[in-house]
Amino acid sequence: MRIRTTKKLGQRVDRSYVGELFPIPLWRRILTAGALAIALAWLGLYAIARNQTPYTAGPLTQAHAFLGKQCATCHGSGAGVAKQVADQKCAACHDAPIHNVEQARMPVCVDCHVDHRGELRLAGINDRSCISCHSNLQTKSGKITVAANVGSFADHPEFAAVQKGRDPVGLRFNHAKHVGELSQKCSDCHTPVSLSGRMPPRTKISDRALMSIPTYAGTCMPCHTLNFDDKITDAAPHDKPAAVHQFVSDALTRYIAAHPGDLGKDGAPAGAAAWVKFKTEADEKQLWDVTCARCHEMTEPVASGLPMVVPAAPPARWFVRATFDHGAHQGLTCASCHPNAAKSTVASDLLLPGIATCRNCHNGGRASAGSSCATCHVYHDWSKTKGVDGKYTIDKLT
Amino acid sequence: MRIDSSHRNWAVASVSILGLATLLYLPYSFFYPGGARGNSLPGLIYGVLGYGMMLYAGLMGARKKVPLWRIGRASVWMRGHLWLGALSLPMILFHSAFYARGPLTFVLMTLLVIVILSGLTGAMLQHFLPRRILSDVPLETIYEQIPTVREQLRAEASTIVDGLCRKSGAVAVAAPPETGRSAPVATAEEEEGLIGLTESERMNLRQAYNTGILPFLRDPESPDSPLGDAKHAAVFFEALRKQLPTSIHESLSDLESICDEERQLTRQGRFYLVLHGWLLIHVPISITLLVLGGIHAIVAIRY
Repeated sequence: MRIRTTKKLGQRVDRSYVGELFPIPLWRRILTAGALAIALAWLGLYAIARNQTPYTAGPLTQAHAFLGKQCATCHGSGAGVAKQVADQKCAACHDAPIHNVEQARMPVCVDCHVDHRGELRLAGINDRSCISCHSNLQTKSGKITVAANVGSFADHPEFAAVQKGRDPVGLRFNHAKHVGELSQKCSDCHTPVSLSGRMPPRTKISDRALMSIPTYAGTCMPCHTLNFDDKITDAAPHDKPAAVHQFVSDALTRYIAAHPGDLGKDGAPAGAAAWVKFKTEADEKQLWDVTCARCHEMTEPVASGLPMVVPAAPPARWFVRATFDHGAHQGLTCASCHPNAAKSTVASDLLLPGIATCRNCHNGGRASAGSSCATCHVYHDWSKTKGVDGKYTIDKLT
Repeated sequence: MRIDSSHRNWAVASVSILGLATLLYLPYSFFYPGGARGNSLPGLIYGVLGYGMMLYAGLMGARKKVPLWRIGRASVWMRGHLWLGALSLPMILFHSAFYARGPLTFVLMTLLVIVILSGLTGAMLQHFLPRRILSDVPLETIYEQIPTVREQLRAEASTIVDGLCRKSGAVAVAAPPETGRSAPVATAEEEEGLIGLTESERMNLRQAYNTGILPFLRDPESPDSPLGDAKHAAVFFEALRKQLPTSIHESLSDLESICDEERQLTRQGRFYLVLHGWLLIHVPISITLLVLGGIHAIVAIRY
């Protein structure tokens, strides 16, 4: 009977096996050597070609892609832990005007502009960069002129212009009459124009960003001519009262010189100088009290004997700290955002949409239009741009 | 190594470290200017921790190579290898902010995932398979000794059959040529007392051995042999017992036992391949990962 005791099983073993290399350990070594060889050959070939692309933390943006072979161009070459690209390296090619002289903390470029993330727009910075200061805003002087605690668009206060509650235009204008009674279209008076001066170079913003300020000559004159006398065909200029007075006086002087037969008629004086003075007073009363006053606030006559016009001050930009692009919203009707325009009877009515209107689309949800800080705000004050004196040559960079 | 209650302290420590690392990562990820990234100070701390854990896991291999080093118990190293090795993945993910955009970092992340997955596979196999082997292969031997043991089994079978057939002076059964060993000589008691086969019975035994048992012993993993399957083997030997006298049934049982042992060795070989085959992926990729990770760290510090 065959009995397999532990002792018998133990006796089967040929102890000389210990020093031998059997298939699995052998293949483990072969594969290890092979894998290491492939990996080092890969890096070695790039090293021979003096190309450091394998070590990149990720693809550069298209604008920086040509710099990818030489890390030191941007990163420098001194060893160190947690090194960042120095601002001077960025400033060698880029101008970066200050954000605000009052800012308490001055971030370095790479705090906001993080490259090696592929085809992202470097200027389209993450909200984190903004709210790191604006969620609890501190300034050098301690004076704060904007909202101090903004963590997202949901926290954003009502627009400053809307908070004022009225349009400071200083004119008389009846939107309801023009749009309703006269059936005018918004575009008859409001035309889009480009926003320039405060945007970074090559920013993709349309040339229809702002709405122009309607002017008398460009918008009102076809209907509202400044005629002041039946005998004079020329209309008065849209100018200051003194200039208007001079124009009226001169026009009447020329008229009576050409038509002396009118002297003494209809109760007018018989002398030419007296006739001009008499007619000027009558015509100007019509101008100041009716024609000009239709659109302008007029004061009582001052020392010169002429009234003053309360200056019209329509804001060139309502959102002075933000960039709004009408061109990007051209698919909407004007009334979508300005629903009260057709009902407004006085020019001081504020027809600007509030933040609630914007949040209909820009609400941070999955299907939201952009609602990041950079959607509307620009960090650098591009009105202070100074330009850059180039330092590199093509050979050095490629 | 079985993952049992002896791992509790390691498990608690690992989960605690993971929880703490995650808690710290969340505010870092949300509020760090420019977002979480590998070259920020928190990102570097995660990277150093992750690479340190990988190095510790890798050092277990070195510790195995030099068993005489008395640096901690092998079981402690193994537990550390399992838990810290697994923990290195979340640490590296936190380090990289869940991105691997560069060529080298992508390769590193891919290798790390392969290492962790193969390691988890290996840990599972090491947890479950040894028990299965214990029940399915009671006559388990050292894997590398299987060919030697098989040689011995063939010699043993040859000796038995030789002993049964030699009495009549009929065809002598030579030891299989590949064994290189001479078959043990039957004792006088065996020759006189046990064997009393007729010529036809010896022929039947000889035929069964030459056409059934010997080919199986020479190539036990061949799918053609009926003896490769326990049920078929039982039928085979039952039929043989019916053809041969009761006096040699015990010897037939020994032959059947040898065939059974052969089948166990075959099973053991298969188990071994499963139990250790994953190391063919895990070890080369781990070492490559450590080397490339070191290069990544040096270049990152330089730039």
